[in-house]
Amino acid sequence: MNLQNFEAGLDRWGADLHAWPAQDQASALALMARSGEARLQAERARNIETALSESAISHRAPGDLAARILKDSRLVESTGLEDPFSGFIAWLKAALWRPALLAVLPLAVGFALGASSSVDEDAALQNFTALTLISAFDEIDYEDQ
Amino acid sequence: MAVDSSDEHLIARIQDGDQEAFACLLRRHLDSIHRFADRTVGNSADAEDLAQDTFVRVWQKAHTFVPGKAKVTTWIHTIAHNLCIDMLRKQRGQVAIDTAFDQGLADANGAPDQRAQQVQLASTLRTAITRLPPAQRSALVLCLVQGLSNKEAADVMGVGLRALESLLARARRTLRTNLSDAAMTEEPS
Repeated sequence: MNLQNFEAGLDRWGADLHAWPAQDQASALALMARSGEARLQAERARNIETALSESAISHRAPGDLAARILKDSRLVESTGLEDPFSGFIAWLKAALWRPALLAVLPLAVGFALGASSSVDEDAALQNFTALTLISAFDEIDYEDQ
Repeated sequence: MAVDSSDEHLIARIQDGDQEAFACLLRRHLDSIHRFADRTVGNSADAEDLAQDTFVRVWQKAHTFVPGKAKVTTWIHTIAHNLCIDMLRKQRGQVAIDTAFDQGLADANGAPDQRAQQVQLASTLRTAITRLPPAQRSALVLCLVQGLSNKEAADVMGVGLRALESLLARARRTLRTNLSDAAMTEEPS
């Protein structure tokens, strides 16, 4: 690993070498052991990260913000359960329905095929009946013709 | 409501309309979410609105949380992140900066002269962060301020792990360039 790769690693994974991919850790540590410039780069990266994380330690939201949120009219007006359609969508997105759907799918296909074939049979029967009646009328001798 | 209730347990109670559970979750995460919004949009007034909207949505959308799919912290950050990005898009180029970030460091432990130095460094850092593109800023704040793992931050932003690492790399590189003349980048003693 050279200094350029080391700097790129600092940018990508940060100053904590333990967070680096295992295969890069050893070579990064070896470079730091022999290179003052690498140690300096790591120190600079660590300083920036420390400044960012320390700024977070003492941060507090304004004292009355929680009370204001709890009094928000949008909370009072809704119960958190008022949207059954969204709940249904969420349920659909959950993983549980997928195996159930898979199990029911052949049954549904069977019903669909059965329904479509029975309709065809009914139609064929009606056609047959109509043709038979027409044929029967054709064979009648009308004496007055 | 027991203080040691897990976030997942609280969400389950909220799904049943339990306002006490909501208040408990709010107290637990409000500082963190306000901080995230503050660092992302750059001013505390907007951050208050964003934190408020985030928790209203937590209440309204609690039924969409799927246990096991994500941690509650990640889920709440996702809501906050989306709201922040919406606001940044609306305010494109008009990010107002205030002193909340500096104050965060000024309140930190340390000797007075050290705190003064930290405030000066924080001021430079804050300006540098607000100059980052929104996606790089979000990645940086989620990982280095909020303490999320790279995977969690990627989930919050809806990007892959490698994309998140690229955003972080670009953000760190830009910060380093912008801070090149600041005290934190001086030769360590």
